Amino acid sequence: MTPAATSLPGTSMERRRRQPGRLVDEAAASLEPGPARLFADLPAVGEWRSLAHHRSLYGMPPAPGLRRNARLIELVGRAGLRGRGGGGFPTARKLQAVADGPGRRVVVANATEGEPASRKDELLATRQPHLVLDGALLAAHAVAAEEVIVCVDRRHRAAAAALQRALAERTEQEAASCDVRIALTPPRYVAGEETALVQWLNGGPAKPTTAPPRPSERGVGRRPTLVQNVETLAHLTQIAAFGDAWFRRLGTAEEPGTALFTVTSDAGSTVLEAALGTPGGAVLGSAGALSGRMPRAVLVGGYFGTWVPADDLARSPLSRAGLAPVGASPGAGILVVLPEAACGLLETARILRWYAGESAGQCGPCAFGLPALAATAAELASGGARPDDVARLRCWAGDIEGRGACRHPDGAVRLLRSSLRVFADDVEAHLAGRPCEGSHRPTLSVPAPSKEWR
Amino acid sequence: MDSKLIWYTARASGLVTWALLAASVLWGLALSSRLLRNRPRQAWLLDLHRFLAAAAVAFLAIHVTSIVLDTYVHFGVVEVLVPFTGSWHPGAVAWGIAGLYLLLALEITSLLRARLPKRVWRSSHFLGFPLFAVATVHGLTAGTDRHTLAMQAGLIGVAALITLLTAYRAVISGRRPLVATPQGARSLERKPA
Amino acid sequence: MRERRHPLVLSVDAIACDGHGVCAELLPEWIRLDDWGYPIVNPAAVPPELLDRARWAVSNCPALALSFRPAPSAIAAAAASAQRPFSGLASRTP
Repeated sequence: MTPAATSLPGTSMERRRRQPGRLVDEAAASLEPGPARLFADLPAVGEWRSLAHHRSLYGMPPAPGLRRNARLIELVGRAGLRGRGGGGFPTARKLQAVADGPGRRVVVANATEGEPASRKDELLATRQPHLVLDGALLAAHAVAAEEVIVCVDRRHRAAAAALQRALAERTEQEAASCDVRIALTPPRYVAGEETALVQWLNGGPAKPTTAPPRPSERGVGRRPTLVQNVETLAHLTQIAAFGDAWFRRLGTAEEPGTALFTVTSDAGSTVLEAALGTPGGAVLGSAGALSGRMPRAVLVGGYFGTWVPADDLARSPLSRAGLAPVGASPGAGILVVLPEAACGLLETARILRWYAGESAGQCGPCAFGLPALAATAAELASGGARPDDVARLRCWAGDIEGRGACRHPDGAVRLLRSSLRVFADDVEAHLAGRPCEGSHRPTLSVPAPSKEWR
Repeated sequence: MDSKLIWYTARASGLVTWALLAASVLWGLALSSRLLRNRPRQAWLLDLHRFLAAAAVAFLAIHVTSIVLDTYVHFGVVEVLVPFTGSWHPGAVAWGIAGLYLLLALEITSLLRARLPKRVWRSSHFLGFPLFAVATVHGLTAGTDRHTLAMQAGLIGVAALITLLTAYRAVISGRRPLVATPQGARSLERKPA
Repeated sequence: MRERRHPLVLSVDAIACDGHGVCAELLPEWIRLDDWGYPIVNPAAVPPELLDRARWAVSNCPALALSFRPAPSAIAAAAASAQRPFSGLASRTP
């Protein structure tokens, strides 16, 4: 089976200007064509790629049965696919762990995308729902699951509608191979965490639980559950269709393939596909983030990530290995550009306040520690803090880290530490009572947390 | 005089059992609703809570035994263990017998706490509230002294206090830190900007 | 009293923990409280001389949040010799 067109100029990108409610598709012929795999043959906004069209490219995935498919798991292992939801965990190992569990298994396709600065999963689910659904069914086939649940944030209505429509097409035109349903999750950040999603699917609140047992051992309905990001599943569809050698043609040896990156800057918010290991400067450039003044810093990995000085990021390959030397990780492929005039300490304080608001409130160090970090960081940002406040921030960070049931507080701690490191000059100035001009003008659009847990 | 002594013992031990129960429930509420925020006292609170409960069991044993031994009103072993088998105020006594079993269940599950699933222990421990209610009703309906103002005021007063504290505990279901260092306390007063 | 041969660490179930502070009171050499009253437990294997008091702390936690777990190296050693990991008197598996 020949791959679909791999590089149509402009089709590897979808650009949205910062105008609420308007999605503008631009065939940016002047830009370099990126490697389009997930975005190959991407339909335009409002255009629907029918199931028949999808089948003509990818064929029919095998139906999930009673026995796992070890060969498919091995194929994924040879392809070296890693999770695209932020963790970067080798997918074959996850498949194996679930396949080893007792009883019939469950596959959960995670499209919740709680990270505010990420749009790739929403986009993928809206424009390539068949890729996602096939991936979920292939995963179900690999681990011998009898149930597939696609979880979408209930705010992402277009994505949910597209998935429903795709599912309806399949129900009409094909024999049901497996029980597939769509579940709309509450709009909370931690709801996308593995154990939280499982607890919610089991009828509880969308809050993390204490593991052990991990979902791969006991999850939805006490059955071994595979929770996989939808982008990972989309890649799985392509690997099953085109093979592991094809997949490995792009990317690095340790981190093969392409990934979707959401780049937010003054130029708007863009989702583009690039091979892992592409230098950050190329990705930022393609997104239009480098036209104009050189930005100050980039938040790499989203709110769950860390700050990196812009020129460091421009030179670094976007991969786990490439970003480790600058103390970052691509996470779910999110890059938020901090303009030159903005204040990194202010934005950090605002994101920390968001972190505090998104806490499930189950663990003391997170429920009380994060608001304390946020309040003190805000004081630092406004120029009202003293040196022992910064010492206290570091002390609290050390105390809070690792003491929650999930990694939510660790994200806040990591972000804080990176801000103190990358914006060290600003810290000095702010402590001396000279906050920068940007410290009065928020730049990033940090959302307000919601209150619903079910 | 002898029989009177046994009768007094029965009455007194009944009152003491009730008081110990009340104190144990109060201390348990203080522990779980974090009313007493003094740092070095938590283990002492817990210990005292357990001690009061164990003492209540002991005094209940005295109460029941002396009732059986007392000859003024006939109570055999069956009459103190099975409700509505005696002829003396069967309803009031039934409340007491219910209390006996509730207290035994509580004490046994607490002693076996480490071996029981967390949820089982937790839900059985909440039986403490109906236990106290049952014991109070028994005291108000069966006690020889039930007509005295002092006893009524005492029972109702303490019961009201416990009810209030229970409601308070139920309402503050959110997290509150027990102990905060000065930095921690200050951090809680500040709201993030 | 079962014989213990595997080193144990104390671990806190962060969700169950209510910050009562009984553990820190009973085992101050090994557990301290953060600024909000929640326990910070030394992650190393509990030394033998503290084991008894550690057991006492585990059984006295009002929220049943403190428990023993086999030390990570002990798990590796046990797996290597195909023995069952320690699951003694005071250890709890949530």
